[in-house]
Amino acid sequence: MLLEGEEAVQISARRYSQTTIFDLSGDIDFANSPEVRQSVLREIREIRTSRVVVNLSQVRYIDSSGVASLIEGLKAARDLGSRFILIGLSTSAREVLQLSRLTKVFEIYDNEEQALAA
Amino acid sequence: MEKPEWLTQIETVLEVLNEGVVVADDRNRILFANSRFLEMTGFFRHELIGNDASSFYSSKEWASLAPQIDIVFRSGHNRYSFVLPQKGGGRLPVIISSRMIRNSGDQFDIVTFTDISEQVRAEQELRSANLELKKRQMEIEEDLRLAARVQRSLAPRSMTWDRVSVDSFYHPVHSIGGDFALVNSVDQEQLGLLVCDVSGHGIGSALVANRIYSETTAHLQSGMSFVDMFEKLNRFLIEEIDSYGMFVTVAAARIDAHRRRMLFAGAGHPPAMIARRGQSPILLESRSMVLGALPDAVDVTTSLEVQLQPDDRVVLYTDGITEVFNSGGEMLGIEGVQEIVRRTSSLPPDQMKQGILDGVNAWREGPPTDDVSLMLVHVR
Repeated sequence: MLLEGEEAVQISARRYSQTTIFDLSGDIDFANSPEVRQSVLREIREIRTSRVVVNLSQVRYIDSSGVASLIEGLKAARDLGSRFILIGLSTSAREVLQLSRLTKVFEIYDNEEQALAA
Repeated sequence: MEKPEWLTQIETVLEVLNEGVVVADDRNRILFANSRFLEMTGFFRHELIGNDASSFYSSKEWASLAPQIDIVFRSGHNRYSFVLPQKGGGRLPVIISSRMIRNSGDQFDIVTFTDISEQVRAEQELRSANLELKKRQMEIEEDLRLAARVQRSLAPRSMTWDRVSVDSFYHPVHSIGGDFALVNSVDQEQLGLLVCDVSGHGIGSALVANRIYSETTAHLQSGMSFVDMFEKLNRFLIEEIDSYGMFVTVAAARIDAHRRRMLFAGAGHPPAMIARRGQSPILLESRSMVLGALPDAVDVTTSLEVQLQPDDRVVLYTDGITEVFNSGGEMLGIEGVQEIVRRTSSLPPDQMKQGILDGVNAWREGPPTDDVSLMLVHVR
């Protein structure tokens, strides 16, 4: 449920052979994170995409709920032997992940080219 | 009673309409009723024709209906909702649409009746469901008020001893939340402190917070090492709570007020700060990651020991303090809080907590969007 002043997160997916890139924009917070979670988990668990990339370059802010959604994506990918990659972290998103000491467990790249080449 | 010629000519058309149709004269005598009207009322045609329409209604009903009929004769038409009497005493909810016509100096009223019993039934069911929902909502709100009182009882009270004092603040963004702080002391020299933030907020986070509270109180009081405490908590969250979609950040400290030594450990939590007058606050960073997400969360070097000085203020808080945005969309962040703590470190200890909160509120645009916990320890 969105509160007054909140914006919905926009999620679009680009699918290639064995790779799906989710382009997110907006804030990922308590209201919006379930949508992100569902999209990511569906891609990993049901569609069984072997490399899922989450593009956060248009995400201004991510709170603990948003981080929890990303952690779930990471765990699901680990369980199935898939790769779960984050790209384009803004300064604040990177700070949130650094504070949580999660930058060392996620695969993180600056941009799509680096992620796809890795 | 003779049927007018024009009515005879249009009877066939009126018969095939899906609405009930009656034609009456200016004395409310029924001249015609179509088959649909007979179906709706259950009357036979001979029971209707030539009779005054008022004879089918109670006097109270007719008293309500008469003004509507007057409108037809004054303005030429009217549309309103009412009931249609049925043989056997029932009442069918209908929309009545009435139009007056004149012919050869006489006035006639053509009235159509649309059955709205289904809509009325649906409205009544909706009203009933709404009442049930309102009742349920009131019960839930009462439960939440009780839950909020229980949770407020977990918030540590401010305390003052000879060598150390603790000042706390807690505010959930909803009536209950996922933050908590605890203080326990073996004696007035040995102090244990912990601030915890369960991801998300609301009932789910609050339940997890309450569950963890008991676990951590016992661990903190027992003198267990922070590495072991975090390992146990991590395992507990993953195995017992099965906290999918949730994790926990923790900042914990043990202070020996006599020797002014502090042991600190953090797991994915915003850095604690040591404020000294006139200096930029020292940050104590977490070395372990958030708990409850991954099995390898705890760093074996998680604890760090700090020598405190007289008048040091130790600040523990949750990200409800740092993740606030101003009107330009800029986040206060750790640097912003660090600056507020630096500015307020010259205040008397009993004013510093409020000074920090005022600084954060001055930055924030709009109401809080996350639970807030703040704990300030002053070491003399």
